[in-house]
Amino acid sequence: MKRILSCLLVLALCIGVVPAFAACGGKSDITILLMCNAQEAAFYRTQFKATEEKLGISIKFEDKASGEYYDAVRQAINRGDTPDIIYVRQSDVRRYLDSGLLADISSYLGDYKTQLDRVYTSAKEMYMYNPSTKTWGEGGTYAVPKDLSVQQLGYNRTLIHENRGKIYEEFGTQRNDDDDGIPRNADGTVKMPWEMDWATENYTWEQYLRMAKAINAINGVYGCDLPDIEILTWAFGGTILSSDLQNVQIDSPAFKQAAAFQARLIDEGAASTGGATYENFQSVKNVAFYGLVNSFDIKSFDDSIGAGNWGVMPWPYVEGVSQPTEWQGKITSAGYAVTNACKNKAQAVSVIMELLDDSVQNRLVQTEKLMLPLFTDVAAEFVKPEYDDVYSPESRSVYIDVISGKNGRVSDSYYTYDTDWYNLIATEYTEKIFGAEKGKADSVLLTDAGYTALQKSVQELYDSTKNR
Amino acid sequence: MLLEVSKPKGRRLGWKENYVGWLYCLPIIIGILIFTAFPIILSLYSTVLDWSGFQEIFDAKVIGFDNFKTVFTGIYSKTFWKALGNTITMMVQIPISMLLGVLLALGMNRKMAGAKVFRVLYYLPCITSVVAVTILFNRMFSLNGAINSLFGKEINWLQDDVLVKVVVNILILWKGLGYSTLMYLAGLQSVSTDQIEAAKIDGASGAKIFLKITMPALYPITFYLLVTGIMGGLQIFNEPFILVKYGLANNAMTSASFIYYFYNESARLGVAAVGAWALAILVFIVTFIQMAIDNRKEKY
Repeated sequence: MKRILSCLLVLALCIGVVPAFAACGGKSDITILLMCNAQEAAFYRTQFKATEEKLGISIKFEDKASGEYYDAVRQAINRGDTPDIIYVRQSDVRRYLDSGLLADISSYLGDYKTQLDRVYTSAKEMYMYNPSTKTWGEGGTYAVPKDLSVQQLGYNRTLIHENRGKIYEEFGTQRNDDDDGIPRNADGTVKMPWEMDWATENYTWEQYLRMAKAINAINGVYGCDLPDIEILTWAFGGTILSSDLQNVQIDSPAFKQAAAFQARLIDEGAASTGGATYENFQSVKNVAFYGLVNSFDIKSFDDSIGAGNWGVMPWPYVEGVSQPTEWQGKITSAGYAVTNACKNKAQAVSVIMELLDDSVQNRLVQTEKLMLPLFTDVAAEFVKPEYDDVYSPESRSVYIDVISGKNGRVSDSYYTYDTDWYNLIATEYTEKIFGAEKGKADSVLLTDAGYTALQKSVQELYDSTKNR
Repeated sequence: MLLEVSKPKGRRLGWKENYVGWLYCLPIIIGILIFTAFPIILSLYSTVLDWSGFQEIFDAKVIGFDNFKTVFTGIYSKTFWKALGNTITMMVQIPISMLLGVLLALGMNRKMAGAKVFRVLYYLPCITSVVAVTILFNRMFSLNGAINSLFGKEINWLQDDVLVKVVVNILILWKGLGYSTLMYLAGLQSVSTDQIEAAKIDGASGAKIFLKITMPALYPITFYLLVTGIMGGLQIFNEPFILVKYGLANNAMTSASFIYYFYNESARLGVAAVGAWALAILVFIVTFIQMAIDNRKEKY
């Protein structure tokens, strides 16, 4: 009897392991895994509840923060529980396709043509890819755009206004030979960002440096942070990858000039090498010009700095390379993709398209202030002064100029299989400039031989995935 | 029951005689197979895969030893060796921690007022959350932080290639000092007072007693702290990662964060697995050498 009881006990212990592997809960019609913050997650929960009622289906929604998202996707795939709808960025598309994860949803989008025609073409083309010719903007459609975002140059109006006397001193209060042709008011004073007519005027990078330098180091204020190397390279007339996406061009004159300008910003005392952080800009502590104001930050900046006390402005231009209105900002985007594991792709697409409904988009743009307009017609309304009394119309115009493509482009790294090669440029070079002390940044700059060596190693890394 | 499973003299137990024992062991054996052996085999298998994790492991392409080549001699070798170098420099605190631990333990071992309060105070950092402590250090050593304000300087502690490692070493030292002190204190309290008394009667000086009696008696503690310190040091992740992630130009990337980078951010799970195996083998070799040296040493 004891023996039988022992055997039963052991069996019970073994069987006890089994439920741990069993899936719990009932099956949902559509499973969704998205990368989002708490505010977005709350929005999605409400929205998907409404979609469940409208379409008569059940939806299981899971949200993950940016640091956990990709691991969550991997875990789901490897436990055989691939979500039906996932979040993708353009830079994910090639790798996901290589893994056989994404479904081509072109054939399911026909019914939604009217709505999709209103979406910026550039946004749609970010998720269209032809794997056989390795061409973007054609072939299959692997996601529906979720948003278009911009990382733009922000200015702290309060801080600059308080210290504008230093800028007036730097440039004088009337036009002279040394003023670089900076835009001025009728009284001769230099125009502050909120006084500029961005449709015709802009600062040059040289003027920007002098403005930031004039303000820098006054009572612990930092003039600016270090601008993104790719945006600077564009301003100097180059690109990091060649137009056919075959060659890395960090030994090009434009990239070298961009890196040298970064070093000058530090050495001449315009940029902070460590203090100019997001928090400092947000808390109006230190930074007059801050180069990473994401459009999804609008609400948090309004809350912390105060609506009207900050704004976004065009990136400066380089005289002799381009005109004041020919600056280039960086567009980013995310999309909703359907996976190949999805049993009912048409249904999944219908759930996604509910998110592109007018009422949902209006909530996202106007009420929740979570994103910029995705529809061209909404964007036309968005730039009108009467659209909203919270954003300054100038800032709204700058955002729309970028996402419409007039003054915006996508990072070269978004078209590639992965961004390791791009990260290597940062870790091997540009971060070293960023970390240099004032007066020593120039010594970090590479010699021609150094550029050749770096170009070779980055190209080698790029080549390892280029044709996948 | 006991009689049934006890081993008769000179004969191995047959299956029929000891199967109940095996059945008792079965749950834990199954647990080990599923949660330890199987992942080890999978991680070994993934070293030969071109696997992003975005497809199932058995759908990934087998690429032979390419991942090993890229890590040790190829395009990721510079990052790998740099990470290993950073890891080693972050272990400078181990001997310092042991030395300070002995000194503090000697101090606390004396009969003095408030000794227990000191023991608690020194041990407090050990039980404090590593996340909280590291965030505190980040604030203290930032450009506008307390340390720079205190000395009126603008030192870039967290971005400088050397200084960031100094900060990590200080952080780990501060956090772990209480542990080594407590271990040595326990060791000191077990040192034979008879031997010390006898040495004193023979006229031995305090320094001689410490070197010839106390330190040899503390050898097992020292050896234990060294082995666990190096094992932990080679796998260091939390402190530098929370402090500065990989650091500027990867100057705080450790061997463990190298694995994390290739797992989580680069999505090259094969490369991450090679890094993990390299680290595991390194820890094994270093520990093995330490053990071998210890076995040859005449014990106190």
